Amino acid sequence: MNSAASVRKLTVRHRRTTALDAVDLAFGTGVHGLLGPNGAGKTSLIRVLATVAPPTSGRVELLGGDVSAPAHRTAVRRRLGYLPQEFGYYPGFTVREFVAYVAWLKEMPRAAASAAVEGAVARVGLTDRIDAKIRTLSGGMVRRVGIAQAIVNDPDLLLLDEPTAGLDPEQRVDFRALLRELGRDATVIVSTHLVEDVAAACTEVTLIGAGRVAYRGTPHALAALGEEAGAEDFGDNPIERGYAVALRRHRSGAAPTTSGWSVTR
Amino acid sequence: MSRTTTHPLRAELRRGVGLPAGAATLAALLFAMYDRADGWLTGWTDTTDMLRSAGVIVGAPLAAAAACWQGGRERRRGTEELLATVSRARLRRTLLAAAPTVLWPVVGYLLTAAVCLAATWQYASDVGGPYASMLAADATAIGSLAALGFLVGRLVPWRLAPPLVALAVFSVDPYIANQDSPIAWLSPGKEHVYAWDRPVWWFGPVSMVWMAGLAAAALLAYATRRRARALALAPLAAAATAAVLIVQTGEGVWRPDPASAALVCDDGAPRVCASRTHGRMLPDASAALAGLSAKLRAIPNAPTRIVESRGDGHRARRTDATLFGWDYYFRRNRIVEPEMFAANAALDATAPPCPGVSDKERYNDLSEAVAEWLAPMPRPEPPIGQDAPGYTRALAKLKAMPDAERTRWLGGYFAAVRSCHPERVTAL
Repeated sequence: MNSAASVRKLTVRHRRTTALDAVDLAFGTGVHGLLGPNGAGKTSLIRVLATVAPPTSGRVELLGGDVSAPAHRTAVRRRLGYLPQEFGYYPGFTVREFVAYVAWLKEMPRAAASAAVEGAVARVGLTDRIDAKIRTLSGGMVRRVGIAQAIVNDPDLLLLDEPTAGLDPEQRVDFRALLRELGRDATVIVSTHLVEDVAAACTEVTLIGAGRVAYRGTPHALAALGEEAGAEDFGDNPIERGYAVALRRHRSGAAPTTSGWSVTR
Repeated sequence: MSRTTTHPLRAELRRGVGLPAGAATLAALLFAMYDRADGWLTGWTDTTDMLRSAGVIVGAPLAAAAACWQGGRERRRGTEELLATVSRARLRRTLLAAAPTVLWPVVGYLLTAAVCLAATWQYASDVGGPYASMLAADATAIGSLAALGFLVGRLVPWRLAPPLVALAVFSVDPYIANQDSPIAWLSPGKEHVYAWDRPVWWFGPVSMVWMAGLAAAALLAYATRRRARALALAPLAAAATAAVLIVQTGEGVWRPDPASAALVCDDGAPRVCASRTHGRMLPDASAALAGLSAKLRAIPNAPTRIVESRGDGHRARRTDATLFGWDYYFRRNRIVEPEMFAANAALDATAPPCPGVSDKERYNDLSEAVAEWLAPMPRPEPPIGQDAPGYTRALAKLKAMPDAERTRWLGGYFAAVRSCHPERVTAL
C-alpha cells in the first residue's frame, strides 16, 4: 500500500526531552486518529509531518519523497493542509480574505482560488459569514475558519491538531462527516483528545505514549481490546476502555499492540 | 455570493496597521507643513527642502515604527506556525506583509507633497518647477526606512521595538545631516539653503538607489535561502556606489540654476534686484528700500544697485550693495521686516567686504554711523548695551552737517570704502 506520509526511526528532541523516540509510522489514504495523553508526542509528530519542525533524526517521506530536499518540501507544501493546535489568524481580515490569503500562500492558481475559497468556507458551514471579519466570529467559528484554510487547496495530506476544540456538539458531528468525506481521497491525520471523534470519523487510530507508538489499529479493534480486557474501571465506552488498556500495557513495557496493515515499533 | 477573490495585497492594504499608519503620516506631515508654512510658501526649492525635512523627521519615524509593529504581526497573531508550512517563497511573503506599512506612509508623504506643491504654485516664480526626482527620493527613503523597520520587527521580539525604531530614525538621520562633512548629503533630510539652486539631475535617482539599495539588501539577506543570500550583495554594492558618488560630490549635488539665479531689477535708482526665483518679492523690496534709495541716489559713488546675494561675498559688480537671505524678511512674498531689511542693505552698502583693513575700529564706527543715517536699524526695547563712543560721535556729526557738505563727505566716503581704502575717508 502506498503511504502519503511515512516516518522511519523518527526522533524528535526538545532540549533534553525526547518527544518522539525512533518511531516508525506510515499513513495511507483515510482518516487517521492520533490519540495519547498530553505530552505524548502527538503535536511533535504533526509538526514534523507539517514540515514545521525538522526531525532530530530519522527519515520523513511525504507524498512520495524525502522532505529534507528543499524542492520536494516546497512541492509537498503546495499539497499540504495544516491546522495548528494554536491557530493564528489576522482578526481584521474577513473570512474570505484570510482563506484566500492562505490559498495564495499555497500557490494556488488565481483562477481556481475564488471557487476554492468559497467551497472551503461552505464545507465548514460559514458561507453566511464569509465576508465577516474574523474578529467578529465566535471561538467555534474561528476554529472552522482554521479548518477552511487547511482544506482550501484540496490537500492530499491534511494535518489537523485538535480540530474540534471549541466546536459545539452539532458542529463536531458535521465536522466528523467532513473528515470522512475528505478521507475518501486524501490522507487525513487528526490529533485529538476526544476518542469519540476517532470512533466516529477515523479509519485507523494510532495511540502515542511517551514518544512511542503504543497501539495501532482500527477504532473497532481498539474498542474490542477494551471489551476483551474488561477494563470497566475506566471510561464510559469501549473505545475509551481500549485506549486505557493499550496505554497501560504500553507503560508496563509490553510490546506495542498492532492491528491492521501499518508497521509500528 | 460568488465573487472574484482578489490578490491578497488588496486585503493587506485594506486591513491592519498600514492604512492608519498612512493616514497618521499624512496628518502629521500636513500639520508639520502647515505649522511652518511661512517658511516655505515662497518657491519650489523651499517647499522641497521643507518636505524633505518633514518627511524624514516626522514621516519616516512614524512609518518605521508602524512597519516594525507590522513586522511583529506573525509573532503576535501566532501565524508563524501556519506560515512555516506554506510553499510561497519567503521573499514574496515578506514583501506582501511589509507592503501596507511601506506603501501607505509613502502615499501619505506624496499626498502631502501634492498639497504643498499646489499651495506653492501661487507663490513660486515662473522659473523652475517642483523637483519631482527629489520628492521621489524622499518617498523612497521613507519606504526604505519603513522596510528596515519591518525587518527589525520581524527579528526583535520586543514590544518596545517600534518606539525605539522611531527614536532611532528620528535621531540618526538628523545626526548624519548635521555632520560637517560630505557624509551629511547621505541623509535624506539634509537641508539646502539657496533658493535659486537646483539639484543635479542624478541626485534624486542616485539617492533612491542609496536608500532602496540598503533596504533591498536587508530584505534579501533576511528573506532568501542561505544559498541565495549572496544576491543581497548586488543592491548593497549599488547602494555603496551611490553613497560614494554622493559623498564625493558633496555640496555640488545642488548647483546654481542660471535661470533662477538671474537677476530681475526694478527701474529705480539705485536699482533693486532680486534673483528671479524671488522675483515676486521685488515690489515689496523696492518699497522697503525706497527711503534708502532716495538717500543713496543723491550721493556720488554710492552703490548703483542693491542686489540679492548668495551670502558668500560674491557680487555681480563692484558697485553693488548686496543683501543675503531675503527669505528671512519675507513671508509668502510679502515683506514683514522692512526696516531691518533696509538697515541691513545699508550696512552692506557702507561696508563692503575688504580684507586687511587697517584701523578697523574707526572703519566700523564710521560705516555703522553712515548706515544708521541712511536706514536706521530698529532698536530693541529695552536697548541692549551701549553704542561705541566713536560711532555715536560720528552719527551725531553726520546728522548735524548741512546737506551739501554731508553729500560731499558721503561721496568721498563711498569712493574710499568701495575701493577698499577706508583710510582715505576724511575725518568727520
